[in-house]
Amino acid sequence: MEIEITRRSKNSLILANPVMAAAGVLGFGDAYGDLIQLEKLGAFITSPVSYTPRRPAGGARVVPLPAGTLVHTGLPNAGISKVLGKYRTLWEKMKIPVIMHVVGTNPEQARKCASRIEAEHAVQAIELGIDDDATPEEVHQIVGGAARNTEKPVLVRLPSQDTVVLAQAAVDAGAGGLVACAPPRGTARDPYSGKLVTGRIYGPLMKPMMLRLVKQLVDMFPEVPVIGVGGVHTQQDARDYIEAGARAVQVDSVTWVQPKTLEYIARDLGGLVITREQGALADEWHPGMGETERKAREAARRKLDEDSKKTPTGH
Amino acid sequence: MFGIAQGALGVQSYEELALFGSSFSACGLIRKYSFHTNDEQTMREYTGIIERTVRLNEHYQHLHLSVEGLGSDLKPGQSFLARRMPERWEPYLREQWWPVDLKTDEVVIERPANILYEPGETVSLLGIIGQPYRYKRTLRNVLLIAYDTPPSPLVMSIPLLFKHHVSVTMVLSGAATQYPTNRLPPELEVIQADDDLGWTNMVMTVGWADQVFVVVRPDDEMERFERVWKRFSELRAGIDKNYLFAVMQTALPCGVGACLACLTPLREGEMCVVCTQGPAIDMTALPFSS
Repeated sequence: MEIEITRRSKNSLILANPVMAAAGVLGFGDAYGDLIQLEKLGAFITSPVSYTPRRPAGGARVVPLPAGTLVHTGLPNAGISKVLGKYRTLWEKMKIPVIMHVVGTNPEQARKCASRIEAEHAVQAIELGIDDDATPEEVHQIVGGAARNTEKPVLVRLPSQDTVVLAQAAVDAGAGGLVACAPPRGTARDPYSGKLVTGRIYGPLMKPMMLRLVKQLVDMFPEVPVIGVGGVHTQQDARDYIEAGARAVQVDSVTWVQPKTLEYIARDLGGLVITREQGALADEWHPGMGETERKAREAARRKLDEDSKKTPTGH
Repeated sequence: MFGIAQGALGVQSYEELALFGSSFSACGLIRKYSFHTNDEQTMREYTGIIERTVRLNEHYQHLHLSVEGLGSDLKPGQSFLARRMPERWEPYLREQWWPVDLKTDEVVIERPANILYEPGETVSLLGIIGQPYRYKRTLRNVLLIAYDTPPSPLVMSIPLLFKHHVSVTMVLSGAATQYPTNRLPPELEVIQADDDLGWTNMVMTVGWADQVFVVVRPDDEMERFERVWKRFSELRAGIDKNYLFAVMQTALPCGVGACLACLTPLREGEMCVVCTQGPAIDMTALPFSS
């Protein structure tokens, strides 16, 4: 399977699987190794990285919502130089392309980050996260600044408001692909402190909202690959994005809740789920497969016992 | 493991009791901006079955979970992120479940009594979360403080400390006074403090303790820990490293150090990922304004 997730150019990014985890979900690549086989994903997207270090947000950062959660981290990171220094070796060893998510707050920082990444063999593409309050002019400057300073493809993750207008600005400035969208912002009361907290909203309800935006973008920019993200909790959710025209899908918060779901979706959309009955490969994983094997062994043993009882003896 | 060699801190006696494992990393002792330290401990998903529920009083209950393959890996200070099965999205994120007792293939979890759990119910447990508490080798007396919150994160350490002939005193303040103490070991001295963390003979208790572990209500942990810090600063001439520990109960969306929602700033620009380096943070490393 070959999926081109950026506009065709000499450096187009081609993935073997259309499923990835969204930025910020898997950290910098060293956190989920025990629970998820990252090589089964299409690509690895890093946590957000800025040119200069960012401190974590203060106060309550996680607020439970009905069937969802609000998270406000403040995009903490040690700055692009320290992050590259710490994780370069790990990313070089990864068997899937690495896409660095860059915090696109201003053109100067985006330009500097792109120049820095251009020289990095460990990173194959950039995903530029556009600020929710950015104007089309700012988006044009930020995306243009990054795209002019690197030959690597620049994906643009759009906010969930004014998406189509901002997408036009991003495409005009040279975006290699569009990611729709960043989780919308909301405000909720923290049940412990009683304070109102603003952050990004995650949960299954995000999917219908983002699916609509993906369809709009696909219809409007047929030549630009669109990656769908938001509310994917099952393989059917991911397939819905593909059916709506997305070239690939990013999975977010369900990974925190049920880490294996990410791998399951990736294997399913990558055509890798093969049940035992269909001749599963020994290294293939499937939820419940251990149980299936145990039951199969027990059934085989029972059958053997029954057969041995049926076998006539003494003749 | 993000290791700190023995003696590297210049304080040779501050080691862990062998019983509690050999790791030597915790927030407040790490010198670099690091996101992940827990390389030796394998994170996995366990399936637990609620064998029985025991109601302690109108506020708390114990869930006896049989957990296959858990072994003796679980140490005081460590926890799970739990999710009830079959899948439901309320609550959405996994909840942090603190074990209070560990038997062979059975772990006892403390939960609020107002949530209904049924025997036979299956639970998905992601773990093991966090680092074990670090104790001084020369430890003789430990003070545990629960300030306006149940002492659940501290309870599992009590029998192990007694087994090593360490005296333990627990102070319950504010809402923690509702905690049922009749199931705790009889050797444990329990002090019922007032709502503002005051009790008789405070100076003597604080001076007697070799190490102190504090849990506070998680509404504004830093503010409450700062209150504890101020109180101890008034009662002692100085607070050394490895003496006073804040046991954090920060919300943990992922539990593996990926989402960085639990990243806590320390002094001098350092950071601590509570889910992988906590829950115990040396209070001398916390950036209190006072």
